[in-house]
Amino acid sequence: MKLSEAQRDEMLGRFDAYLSERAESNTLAQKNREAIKRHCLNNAETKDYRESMKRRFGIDPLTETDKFPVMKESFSWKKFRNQLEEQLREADSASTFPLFVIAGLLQNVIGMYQLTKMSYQEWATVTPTNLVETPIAPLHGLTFPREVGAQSPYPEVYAAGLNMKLRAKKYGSMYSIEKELLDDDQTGQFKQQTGALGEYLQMLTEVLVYGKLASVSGASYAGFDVPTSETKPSGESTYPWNSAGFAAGGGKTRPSSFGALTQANLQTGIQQLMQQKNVLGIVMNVNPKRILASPFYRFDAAILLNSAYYPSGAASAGGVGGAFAINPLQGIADLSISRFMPNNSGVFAANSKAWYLVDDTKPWFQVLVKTPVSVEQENPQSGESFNRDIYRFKCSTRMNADIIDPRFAWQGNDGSV
Amino acid sequence: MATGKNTTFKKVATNMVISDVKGLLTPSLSLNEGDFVCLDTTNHVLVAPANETDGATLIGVMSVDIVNGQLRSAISTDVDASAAVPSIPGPTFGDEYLVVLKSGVTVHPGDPLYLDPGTGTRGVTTSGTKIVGIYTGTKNVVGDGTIEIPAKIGARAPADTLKF
Repeated sequence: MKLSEAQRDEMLGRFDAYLSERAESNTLAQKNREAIKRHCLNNAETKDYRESMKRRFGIDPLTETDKFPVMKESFSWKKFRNQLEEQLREADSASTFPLFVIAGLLQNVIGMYQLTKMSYQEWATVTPTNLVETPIAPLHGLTFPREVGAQSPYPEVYAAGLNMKLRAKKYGSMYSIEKELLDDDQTGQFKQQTGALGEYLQMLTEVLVYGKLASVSGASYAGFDVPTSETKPSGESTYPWNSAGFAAGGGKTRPSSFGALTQANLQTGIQQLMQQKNVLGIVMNVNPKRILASPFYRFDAAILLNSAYYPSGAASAGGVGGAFAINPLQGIADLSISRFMPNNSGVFAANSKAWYLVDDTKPWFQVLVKTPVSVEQENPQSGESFNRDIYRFKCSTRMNADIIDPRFAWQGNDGSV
Repeated sequence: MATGKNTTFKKVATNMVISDVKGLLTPSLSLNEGDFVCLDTTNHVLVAPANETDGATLIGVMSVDIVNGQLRSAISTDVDASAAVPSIPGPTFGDEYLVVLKSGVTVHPGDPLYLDPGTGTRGVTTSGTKIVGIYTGTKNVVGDGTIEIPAKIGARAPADTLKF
């Protein structure tokens, strides 16, 4: 069909009229929506709501739809519900919050262990071992050479040493704490208590070292019983501190009578150690370099070792120790003060009068460490942790410490004087 | 001295009367893992049962080897005598253990068992005065002094009362 020009103009005219009418109605609808919107945004309740949201959360819920997506046109309550359920399920999981808390606790335990400084590390030798019983065989050397006459046979020399072992023992503790206590403790102190597990193991090592050094029967600290030295050779009746002389070699490790930490007694100790004898009766190379004492002798030792002038009072001018005489002990030894120095009763008291003079350059006292510190935590998804929300932490170490050869030390006082 | 072995047959209810027997050891005591252990309440030490009535103070089955009052040592040195006694786990009871049936004795499922030190440190028999356990096997067995049978072993110390 072919339209005439008049018919075509008529049809175009009608179409324009239709479009015009449609555009007018769309504008009206838009006007209506804007009116409704204004009404919604400006009524009293909505104003209060928007002001409240601004005060509490700092957002305008009707204009900042990126922060408050409920007002977005694309928002779906169905999708929101699904997302919410998913988030709630994650919060209820036993593997989210407990693990976060536990990780913090573990860091605390290890951190506390590293932060704790004890004095035994200043003179004892810490040696790693992978054996449950570590054999130790210090060889003292050979017997002495002699003059050889012409055409005479050379004298034979022989070697002698010690034959001992040290067994690694396990030490540790277990700490149980309920989840609610950790959560509700506003001071955080209970969380810190878990750190004490590691610190106490370090303290236990200090107690063990000084307890073994003293080798007193019945020594005990806070329920931890410290045995006497486990390296006493079968041929020795008095060990490790012997004033009469060891059966092997005759060396002595203490004076015949104990004395206070004085310049005179210290001098005696230095003299005896520098004449120390090994199991063959030959003088050993012992260089006393360190004093071990409790806080009781903290000031006395500092005065003896640091005074510029003679520390034992003035004598007549010109004599040893006369007025303004120098201090021959100045800087001659270092000082290690331990809070865990047992007395002669085996009591680890801060006022223990025991003191020792030792050669800290020789590995004569060994701390054999098989497992330095092991912190384990019960699986939070099983056992008591899961059933009752009780977290259990286990801190353990496998080690032992003992005297390998007491000839490098001198017990100036066992604490009895 | 031969070493002991783990004689636990089934762990059904492990229990201990004393968890650490460090204070109950004497320098002369030697026990193997798996051996019956009694408590000498007079001398306050562990002892191996010497006769059937010692079952009255049975505290369980040893779980480690003890040699001269110490844990069995790996090496011998000059300082063995001075080694300190470490913490030593106490005997266990309540589980099923492999014990040795007395020669010539027939045991039936569910039969009560009594100590028989004459057969050995793990020896049991079917007659006596102090029941220490019950045969948990599934068929009749005639002992020859070496055959091991499973038995749930209890403890009678303290107060001579059998408990599992």
